[in-house]
Amino acid sequence: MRYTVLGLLALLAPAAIAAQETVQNATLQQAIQAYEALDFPKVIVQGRAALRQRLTAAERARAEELLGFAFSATSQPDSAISAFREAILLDPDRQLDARRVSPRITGYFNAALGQVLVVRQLRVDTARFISGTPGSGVPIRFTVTSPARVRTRAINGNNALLIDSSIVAGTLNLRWNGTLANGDPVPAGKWTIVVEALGAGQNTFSVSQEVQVTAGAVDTVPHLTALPGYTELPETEIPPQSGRPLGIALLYSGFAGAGALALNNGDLGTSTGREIGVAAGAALITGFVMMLKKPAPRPALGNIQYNRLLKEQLARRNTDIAQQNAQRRRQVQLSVVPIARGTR
Amino acid sequence: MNRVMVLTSLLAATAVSARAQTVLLGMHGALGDYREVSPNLRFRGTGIGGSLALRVGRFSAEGAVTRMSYDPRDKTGGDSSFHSSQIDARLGIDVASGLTAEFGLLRRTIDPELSAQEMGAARIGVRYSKLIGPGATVGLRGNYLAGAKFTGAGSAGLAFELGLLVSVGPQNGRYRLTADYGFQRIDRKVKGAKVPIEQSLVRLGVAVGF
Repeated sequence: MRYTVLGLLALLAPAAIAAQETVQNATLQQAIQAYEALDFPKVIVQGRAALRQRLTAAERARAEELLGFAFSATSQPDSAISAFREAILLDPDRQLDARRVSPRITGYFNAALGQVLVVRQLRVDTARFISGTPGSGVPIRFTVTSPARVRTRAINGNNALLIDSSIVAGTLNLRWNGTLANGDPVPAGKWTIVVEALGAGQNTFSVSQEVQVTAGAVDTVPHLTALPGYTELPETEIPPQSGRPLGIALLYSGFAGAGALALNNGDLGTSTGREIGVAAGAALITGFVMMLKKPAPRPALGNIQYNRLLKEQLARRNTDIAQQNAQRRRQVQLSVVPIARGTR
Repeated sequence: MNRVMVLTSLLAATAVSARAQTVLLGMHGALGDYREVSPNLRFRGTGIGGSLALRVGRFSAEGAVTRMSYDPRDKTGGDSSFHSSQIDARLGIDVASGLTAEFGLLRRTIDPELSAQEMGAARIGVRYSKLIGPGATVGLRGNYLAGAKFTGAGSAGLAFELGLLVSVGPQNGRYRLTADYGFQRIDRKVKGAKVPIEQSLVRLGVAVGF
């Protein structure tokens, strides 16, 4: 009964995997059928028998995994861990679905992971970036199962660039900025990202991923003709029609008339006032006509100041853009695309 | 008269040589009132004249020549008519919006000689102009007439000129109608005796800009 329960829990994951992997070996197929029938002793017998035959690496890893599940179901933890360890060494990226596999089996699998040194889940993202720009680069991540000195390199023919070298256990996130040692962009072509792990006791493991690097010009930024969200304001405004022109003419005429009267020399008698009358009349007629006329546009000082600041800001922005473009014309944009393993 | 020609030539030469500025060439009719010595010596006249004005940035120059014919107001007093030629020259510099500092010369000649006082003086003062509408300005002028000289000798410690200016025309400045009023009070003294002079002159004219 206990075997049945554990077997049912363990059965869910390999059933899903089995659907994806093609098994040609007849003995291994029998082992799988026995596992589906929850006949774990037979799984162990058939699995071991299959391992003694010529199998592909995937079939061998599958056989070891079946044995791991069967040993787990029959409460043989050491054997289960050993079988899982072999499966991991054969297929380092092998992963159990924690939602389908019992915690006990997952625990055995994780224990096996801790006993081997492998680099798992090496992923190189697709990226486009400007070579040499701080913070830019293509993201690289992988997981090292045991503490090890891990060296990550990019290799292309005679070029071997060290991306990172560190002692690490667990997941490591790196970024390759695509520059040579002298700071120049890497030449375009196929590059191989190689991760080598050197553990205790000269235990080593390496994994690689090919990427295609292409180089191109960096896009320049067009100059601005206007600041987004800001528009220039009219620099003149037409004041409302009023009696102000006539008022000013009256005021000035009054000043002139009063001044002439005040400055008049009494020893010479009084002036007839004909001349000031003519001039004042001309001023008042002019003021009256201007009062009826549409006022002249006058400078809108606030708007002029606003527009001046806007133009200064625009000029500053365009100066910055020009400097950026001058720099961009000297830069190279790299595109890095990982090559699928099947397309090597 | 030679001075008139020299001044006019100088202004004209400046106007021709200076480009991209405002030049106004005008002619005007004038009405005048001239009084001298006592209330009995009063003249009224009319005349014509021409003017030239130039503006370059903050700087301006004006010159006007006015020929007046004065007749005595009291024809029974035995006073005779005379002609006067008045030259007004001013250089200005804008010191603030609408405010212009001015300095220049005044020269008035009389024909026949000794019918009235010929005089000359330097002038210094300010002009304030205000735009009251599209192409229309009114302004006030106050000048002190310094160092006045007269054919009949004497001096004037106190000599003022007060003015009212009107100018209107299209905003493109192609032509302008002008009115220029000037009131002069000259407290002339000869050996301590008061022999004052006053003149009111209004010039109505038209000027063409180019």
